[in-house]
Amino acid sequence: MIRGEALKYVLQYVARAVVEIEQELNALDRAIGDGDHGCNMSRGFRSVLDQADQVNYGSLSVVMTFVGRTLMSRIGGASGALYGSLFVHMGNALPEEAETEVNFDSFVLAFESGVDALKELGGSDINQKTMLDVMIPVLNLLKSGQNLSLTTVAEFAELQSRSTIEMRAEKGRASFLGDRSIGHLDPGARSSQLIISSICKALTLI
Amino acid sequence: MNDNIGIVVVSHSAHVAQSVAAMSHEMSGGRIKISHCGGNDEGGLGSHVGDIIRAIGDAWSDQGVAIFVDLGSTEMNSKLAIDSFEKDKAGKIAVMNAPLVEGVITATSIATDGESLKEIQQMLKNMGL
Repeated sequence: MIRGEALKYVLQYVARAVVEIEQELNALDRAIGDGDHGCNMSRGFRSVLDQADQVNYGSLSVVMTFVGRTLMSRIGGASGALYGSLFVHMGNALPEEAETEVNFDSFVLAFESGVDALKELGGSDINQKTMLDVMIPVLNLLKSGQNLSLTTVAEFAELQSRSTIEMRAEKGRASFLGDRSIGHLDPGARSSQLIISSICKALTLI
Repeated sequence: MNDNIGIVVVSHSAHVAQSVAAMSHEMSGGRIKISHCGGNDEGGLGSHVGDIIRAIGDAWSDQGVAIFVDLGSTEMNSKLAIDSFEKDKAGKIAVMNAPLVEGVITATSIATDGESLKEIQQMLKNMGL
């Protein structure tokens, strides 16, 4: 699996994509939250970019742990806790030694460990208008054993993200709005989708 | 003093956290250790795991530490903060399921009698706060 310069390219590509949609995420969050999801995500991923030259790209585990710790400390709030845990748990589930090959199956297992950590920390599950409405279906798609193209995964993530528009928020601050949360795209689902789609896109470019 | 649990007040607002901790401190007459944290680096609202870890350290008691939180992300960050401690210490720290102001005031009055963390947790639960 991916390492070295290619891994650095993907990481920077994804981080820049998150920074670029700062305003859009803020606008989505203003509708059903406190309006700072874009600022927070952008702060976290800018910090990832700032430190990108000091990371050991020989090991996917090390990179995941670096991203998780950076996001946890720089984003703050619920997003920092959730995205931080996702990446830290993925890093923990992957072999740390650079020479150990990470194959698709072990990557999916690591992703599952990250998603489980999200569920546990947020006390949340699917259909509650959260980032899990992207993460869980994408995980299930990856586990399905189908022959998948990167474009298929990216498009599927986008479809799942849009499915949160019709959902009623059951978790987080948006849940205070009850039925008034219906009709808005969930900011966390959007940022999750963007990260997944950007990874897929970056992988087609290397 | 070392026989009593410590209390950590975590709010999105530094002012709320500070004020609730001040009330608790006055009520306890300095008989329990109380620390607080809240807000972000820019003086706005927020919650950061690093701040909570520091606050737990400040209020540390071998009898345990009770954390009181306001909104969901303070709870999540508190859980992460607990996970960052060694197992034997982490087992003595718990996030209380009670409203911030009422919970802290109630726990303060119980804790000054030397009740354990588990007893305080149970009493808060029974009160249905």
